[in-house]
Amino acid sequence: MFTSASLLSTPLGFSAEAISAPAASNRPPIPLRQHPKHSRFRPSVQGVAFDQGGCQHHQAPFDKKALAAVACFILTSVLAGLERGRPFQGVRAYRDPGGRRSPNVPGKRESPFTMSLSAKLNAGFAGAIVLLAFVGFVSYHSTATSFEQARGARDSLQVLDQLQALLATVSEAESAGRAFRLTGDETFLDACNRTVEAVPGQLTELRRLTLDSTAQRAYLNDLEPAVAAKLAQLNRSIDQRRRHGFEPAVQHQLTQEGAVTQRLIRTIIHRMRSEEQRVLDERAASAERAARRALTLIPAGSTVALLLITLALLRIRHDLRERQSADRALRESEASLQSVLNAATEVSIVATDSRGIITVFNSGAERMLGYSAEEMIGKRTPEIIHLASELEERGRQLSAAAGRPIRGFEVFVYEARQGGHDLREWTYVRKDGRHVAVSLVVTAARDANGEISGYLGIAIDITERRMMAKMKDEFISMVSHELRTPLASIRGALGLMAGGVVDKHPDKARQMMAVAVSNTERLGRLIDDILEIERLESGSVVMTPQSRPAEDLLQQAVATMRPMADNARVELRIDGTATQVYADPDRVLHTLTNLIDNAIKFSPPNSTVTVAAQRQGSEILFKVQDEGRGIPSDKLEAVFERLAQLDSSDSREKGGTGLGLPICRMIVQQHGGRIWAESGEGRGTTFFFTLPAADEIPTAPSEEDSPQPSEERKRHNAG
Amino acid sequence: MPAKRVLLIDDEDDIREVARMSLEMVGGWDVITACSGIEGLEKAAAERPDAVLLDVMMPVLDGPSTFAKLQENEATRSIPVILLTAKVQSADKRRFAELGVAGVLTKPFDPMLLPRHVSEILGWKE
Repeated sequence: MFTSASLLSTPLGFSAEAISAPAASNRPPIPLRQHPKHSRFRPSVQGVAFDQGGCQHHQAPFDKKALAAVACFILTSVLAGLERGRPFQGVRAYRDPGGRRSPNVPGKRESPFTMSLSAKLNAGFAGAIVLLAFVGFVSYHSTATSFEQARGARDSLQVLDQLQALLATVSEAESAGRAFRLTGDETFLDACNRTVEAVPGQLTELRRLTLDSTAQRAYLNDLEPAVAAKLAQLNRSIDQRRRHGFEPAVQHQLTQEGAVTQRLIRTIIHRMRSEEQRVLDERAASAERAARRALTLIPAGSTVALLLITLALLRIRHDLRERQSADRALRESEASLQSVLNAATEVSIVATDSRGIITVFNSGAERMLGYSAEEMIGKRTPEIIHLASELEERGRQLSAAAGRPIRGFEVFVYEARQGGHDLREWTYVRKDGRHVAVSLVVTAARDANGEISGYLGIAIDITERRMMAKMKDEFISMVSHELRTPLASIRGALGLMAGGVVDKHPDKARQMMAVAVSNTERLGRLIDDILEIERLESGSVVMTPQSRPAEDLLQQAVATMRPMADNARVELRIDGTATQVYADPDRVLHTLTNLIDNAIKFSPPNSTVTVAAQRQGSEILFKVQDEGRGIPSDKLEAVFERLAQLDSSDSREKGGTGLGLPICRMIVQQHGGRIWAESGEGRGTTFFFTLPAADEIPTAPSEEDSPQPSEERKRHNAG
Repeated sequence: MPAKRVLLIDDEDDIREVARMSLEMVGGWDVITACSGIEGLEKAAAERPDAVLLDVMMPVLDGPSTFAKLQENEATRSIPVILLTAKVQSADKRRFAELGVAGVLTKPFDPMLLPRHVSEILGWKE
């Protein structure tokens, strides 16, 4: 406890000389003008720097240039990113290092630095959050600084108060002591003692308040002995007044000792007050700077953050609209593509992913294969619609070529994977098991990166084409055979004669000559029929219909075929009625002679072939009836097919070309008529055909108006 | 050495006649003729010829069917058969070769060389 007694007994260690001339003291001078170490003046770690001598250097807590640079960087980066979509290239680079075409927006090539919408969103809001955090930090820091400075200021004011109180106490003690010495009145001593008793508490409080101030503690170290000295002087003067009376006390008072000590105390207190006032001013200035900084940064940062958020939202809205527009365009494109796919009802379009799972199965494929798209898409591979044996065979071929096993789905796409396309014929297997011959082209679909994303198989049904090709091959085979047959006879007959084999056998020579002649004629007829059927099929034959008596045509035809009938011992009979037909007479004769020729060939000897014509409604019905073996009912329609004779079980018996009946049908059909056959096993065959009646044709020319028979007709009649 | 006996089956009268004269007068063989597959089967079984020249395109029973029936019959199975045909498409030739016949000769043929070609196919020495 710091009491007055202790104060009085404490050696002062502080001489009047030292107080009057402090610079001459051995102790270092009090660094009044030097900024003392002053931990109380630490608003923040960043705010104050200390040199090695304990001097503090006041800095802006945040360097303004650095702060501005940080803010500008964030702002410009985010703004640039929002505007160009590139605040963080790393985000985009990770997302799409190749910067290739985006599969989501077909046809739109993206910049390699373009950001996704979510990345833009993140960038904008991250910038805003960083700024808001920065603003919050600045705000917190400013508030903390203000709080600390306020507390420091309160301490400084207490120090000032204590200093003032101490000075007042010392002055009062001095006054009370002086009054006692002058009057000897003990009541003044009471007042003096009460005052002195307050001094230790005041000094203790000052010591407590200046614990963190080196400078004030140094001052206090000087002040305490000075006060002690002053109190000791006072004590001595009181003591002398008591012992020696008034005079010595006055003499003592007249000495300068008390005045010097009093000045020293006043000087120290004054300096301590000045130091505390300076600290107080600096605290006030620091608090003002912090407040000013907060007032600047908080609105600015908040404004920038709000600006960023606004820009981000605007950008997002813009991107959303673009995305919605692109999505709409994509949907329209997909709908258009789907309609195109479904419109291809005659073409099977099947697409798969890279593993072979079907992703597209258009209506043409549904129609061709009998499966529904729902059954196939996402569930099946094209293997199910292919003939397994073909797949295995093709797999063997490819495996041999590639030097490794190729099987399953890879068989279809092996060629397409190499680039280009694979076009070949396959056999599809319908859901009901029926086979469909197709021409299938397989190509690889590639994504924006050039990687194979799937395969496309487009197939057309070539069943009819293949059948036509087969029929054509068979027709050529038949024509070749039919041409070679008479040629063989001609070649053989002439060869025997040329070889001299029959030189000594005139009858055989004549026989061979006849063989050559008859087969030459047969060859000529065959060539005529082939050319005729080709002309009729190609539509190059122009019919020239005329009005003619049907019976005349029958008679001409019979006259033409009479020699052949005689040879076959077949009787030809005409059963005609007077009626006019409107037709091309040459073509009608051709039809009749073909049918009669056919009837004679299939008639047994001594049988009759009847030809007839009669009116039936608006048409003339012709018929050629024989008494031959007949035609099975299931072949009655087939005999009019061009290749009917190819069936060896029903092949011609008498050198027919096989083209006669098809030619007849073409001629009749080109007149608008019909042709058919009726038959029964063993009951003979009757061929019917209809032609327009002349009186049904308003402008049918009469026979007199008709042109002369053509050269062809003359030749036919002559034959 | 007795003359070879050949059965000639063809529904074409003229070709049958020309081939018969060739085989007889050039080859010096005995020739039996048939105008249909059915008649040919009967004569083959009855006459047991040394060889059969068989047309392909014939009504009712064509050449391949006739050959099949010759093969079915123990009595005629060993008789070599040569097809004589005007069908010369490659597909036809492949089909004929698969039948197992001794050979195929095409029409038209040279009557002066026909016996030689038959001998070559059958390994006969002239």
